[in-house]
Amino acid sequence: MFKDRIFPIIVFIFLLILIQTFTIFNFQFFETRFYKTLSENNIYKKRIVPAVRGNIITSDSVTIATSRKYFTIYADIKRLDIDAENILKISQILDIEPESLNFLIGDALKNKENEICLKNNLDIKTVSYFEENKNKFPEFEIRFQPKRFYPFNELYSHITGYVGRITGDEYVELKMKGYSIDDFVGKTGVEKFYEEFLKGRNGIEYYEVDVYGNIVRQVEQKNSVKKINGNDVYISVNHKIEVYIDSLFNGFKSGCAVALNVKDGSVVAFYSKPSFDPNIFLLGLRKEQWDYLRNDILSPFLNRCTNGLYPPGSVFKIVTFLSGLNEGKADSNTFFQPCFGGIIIANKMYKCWNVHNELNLFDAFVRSCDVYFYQLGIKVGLDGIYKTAYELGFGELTGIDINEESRGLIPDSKFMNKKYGKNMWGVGQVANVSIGQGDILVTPIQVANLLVALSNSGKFLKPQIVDSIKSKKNDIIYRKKVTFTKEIKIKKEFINLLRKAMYDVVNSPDGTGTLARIDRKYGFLSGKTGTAENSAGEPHAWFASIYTGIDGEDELAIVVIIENGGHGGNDPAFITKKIVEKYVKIKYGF
Amino acid sequence: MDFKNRFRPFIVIPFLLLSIYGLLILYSVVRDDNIYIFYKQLLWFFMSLLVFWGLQYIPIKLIYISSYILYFSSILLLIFIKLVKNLSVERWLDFGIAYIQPSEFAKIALVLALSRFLISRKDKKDDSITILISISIFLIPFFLVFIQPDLGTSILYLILFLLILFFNETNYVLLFIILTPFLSIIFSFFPLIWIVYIFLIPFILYYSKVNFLTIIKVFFVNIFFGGLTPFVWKSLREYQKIRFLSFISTQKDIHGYGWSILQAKIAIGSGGILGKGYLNGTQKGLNFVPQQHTDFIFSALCEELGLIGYLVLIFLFLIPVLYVLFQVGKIKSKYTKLILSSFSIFIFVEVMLNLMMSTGLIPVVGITLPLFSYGGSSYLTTVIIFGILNRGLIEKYKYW
Repeated sequence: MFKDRIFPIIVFIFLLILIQTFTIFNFQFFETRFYKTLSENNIYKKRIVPAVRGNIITSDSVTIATSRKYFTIYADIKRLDIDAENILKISQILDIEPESLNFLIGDALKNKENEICLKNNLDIKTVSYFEENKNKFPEFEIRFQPKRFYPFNELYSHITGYVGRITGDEYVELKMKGYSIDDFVGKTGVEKFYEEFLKGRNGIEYYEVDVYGNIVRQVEQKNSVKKINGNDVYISVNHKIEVYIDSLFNGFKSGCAVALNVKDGSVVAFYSKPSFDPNIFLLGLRKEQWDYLRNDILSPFLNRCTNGLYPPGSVFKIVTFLSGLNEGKADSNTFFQPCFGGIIIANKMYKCWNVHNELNLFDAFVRSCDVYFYQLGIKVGLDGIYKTAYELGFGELTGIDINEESRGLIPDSKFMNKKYGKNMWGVGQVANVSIGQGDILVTPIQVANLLVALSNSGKFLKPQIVDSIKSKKNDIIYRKKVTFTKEIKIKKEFINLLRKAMYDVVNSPDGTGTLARIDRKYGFLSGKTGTAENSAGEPHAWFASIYTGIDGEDELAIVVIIENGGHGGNDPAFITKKIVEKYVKIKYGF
Repeated sequence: MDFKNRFRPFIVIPFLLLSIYGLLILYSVVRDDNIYIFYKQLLWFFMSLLVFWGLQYIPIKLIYISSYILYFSSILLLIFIKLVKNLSVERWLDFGIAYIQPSEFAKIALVLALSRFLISRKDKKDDSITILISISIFLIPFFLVFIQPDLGTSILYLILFLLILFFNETNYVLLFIILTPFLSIIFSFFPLIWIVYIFLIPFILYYSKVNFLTIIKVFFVNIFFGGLTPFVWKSLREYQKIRFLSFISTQKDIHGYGWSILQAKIAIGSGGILGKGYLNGTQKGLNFVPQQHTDFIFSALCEELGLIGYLVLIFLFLIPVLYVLFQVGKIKSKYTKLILSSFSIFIFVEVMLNLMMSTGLIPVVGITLPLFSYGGSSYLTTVIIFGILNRGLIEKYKYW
């Protein structure tokens, strides 16, 4: 009688065992990897210890980029409640946009990160709010961490560049080098070019955590990595000169100045106006701020020294001058049709800025007679000018140690055919190019670099901002090497003639750049003025010059541009003079 | 009676092995931070050996006679602790030396009393009066424990109740009818299912040839209990609500009660087939799996000993159960038969419920793992059950 109840219960028992065994087998066999990972995450918390980025220091030992400690808030992604309401609440407390918070969280989830950095520069009020309400926000943690700081705000942004949060693509590329998802990397300038030296290596520490994720103690693990701080980068730019140039540019909206040491190509001054404050990228840039900067008509992000594309104007007469001599189309005593304030070429009036009458090549250069150079240029021909311009370094990169550099544009007949159609262009365009107008664009650094070559008897040097790199233990890791890039294949006597003419531009009473004349005891300047017509208002004013020091050796190649600054012989020449005087004062202590 | 005849090896050896197994696992769980728990449990183990031994000198007849006394005294104890309001956790009764949980011992009393009652009415076992009185015998402790509130233990009472009726050969339809109000309560959390269920009952009963009046009664009783549930729900403690809800969604509220399940799963899953090795578990220290020394001790076992450890546990529990079930037919006394079969299955069901709870198959309702979980009362109760199993089998040919 009892038997008919025994069998069903045994079936029932084995059914239970079957279900239970299957469930456990599933956990321990099919899903064991998943749970193993979870169990490790459970007891160990990985934490990235950011390496302190190296400083950037000027030649006169002024730190222009350093690291400063900020309060940074991190959130444990596993414990973060990701519903819309909570996101909104957090974004309000932290004063960031909910969309960007969403974006951050989404990114971290995609990359399977454990924690995300929500905001970098918490103000003391927010910090104390979180500290007071610690148990209400167990998923948040505030750390006091080093972040980039640029003490001179806008002054050096075009040299140092800036660091910004790593992008997805950069992260993929740099992950192997120990970068984390909320790392900052150099985006432009020295910060980018020397990223591998500046960055150091992030450390990885493991902590044992309790059930609430609170840290119990630090543990040594095989995956622990000690952080290595970044190296200090010493640049050849002089802080005093830079500050002085900034003051000289007071009253001018935009322009740039670059000075190269002709001996080794090192950059002594590098100034571009307007600029931006690189600190804003670390302190959480608001969308409006970004838009404002991007849409600024003066383009503060444009590095004018290397990326600024300008028509060279009369500065280009250096090229036409040398191409005339080199192609054998003229010598110092060649005369063309006299200048009556202009000349008619192909039934069109081409103006000169003054009435010069009859001049030879030398005087035409000194007095910057357009009429003379129109005729010389036509005689040499477009491709002749093109050839010489390339020879003199235009149309190609100087190789300066930042990534923001443009090639510029030197037209040849191929280019003209393409642009205007075959035979649709003529001597008129050639005449324009010969005085650096029309379809020609150069960068200030190219001109400065050409000046370096002219003072090194034709040898081009690579311009270099960074002088040396030292580790925190003061070991020299990198030292600049003077690099000859190429040599001008133009007779020395032609270059010497050009130098003489350039000397006269500044030092003869007829010269266009007399404002740049300095006290003889300091040495002298030789240069070329430029007044580059452009479609946007007043012409850009150029002054490109070489400073020859007290001992008669060339020292600096200086290019100064004031956008819409009118005649190159005025402000830029004056500013150049001032820069040189400052340089002399610093160097010789006058 | 010599020693060999006094102990059934298929009961005693698994019992001893399981006890030692349980102590070893408990040691591993608490050795870092709370080793005193292990020593306390060790003390309980030696005490319960005495209890087990002592029980072998108590004839089942004596137990039979004292069934009602035991039942009423445990009811009184349950009422007493309900009245002592100043105790923070009402489930525990302070006896000076140790805390006693009357609800644990009431399990045994319930089985004994209910069995005695059913045996006394064995000729009218499907009679409605028999059933109604049985229900009352069960409902009194059930209700007292439920309002403590101790959901897990009250569920165990229900299981015991059904097991006894089942082994008393109560009609399956009748068993079903008894079960329906409880089903109604469970389904009432899911209104749609509940409505379907309510209208399904009459059909099932109709095809089971139940008379019309009974169908009507059952139908309304079910509506009553389903409708009562929202009210009962309100009476639940917050932690019980959370426990119940956490079963439905384990993702939310990771540090609440869903946390226990998740952590238990992590411990079990990370163990793998072979486990991490004894004492090598990492998800321990009572930190990661809360109550790992009590309700969730199975997760520690699985982490360290893997699937093998689980299979050994099941095997050891299965031996006495199957042994009792195969021997129970030879027992002459109906009372002994009834309590032995109910007790053996009950132990096993309790084990399975605990494992299902640890692996997230059922809600976390606080059911311990017999002989493994820390806790004197539950341990002692299990030992008494094993003792009765052994004693019952010794005197299986005895009439009284």
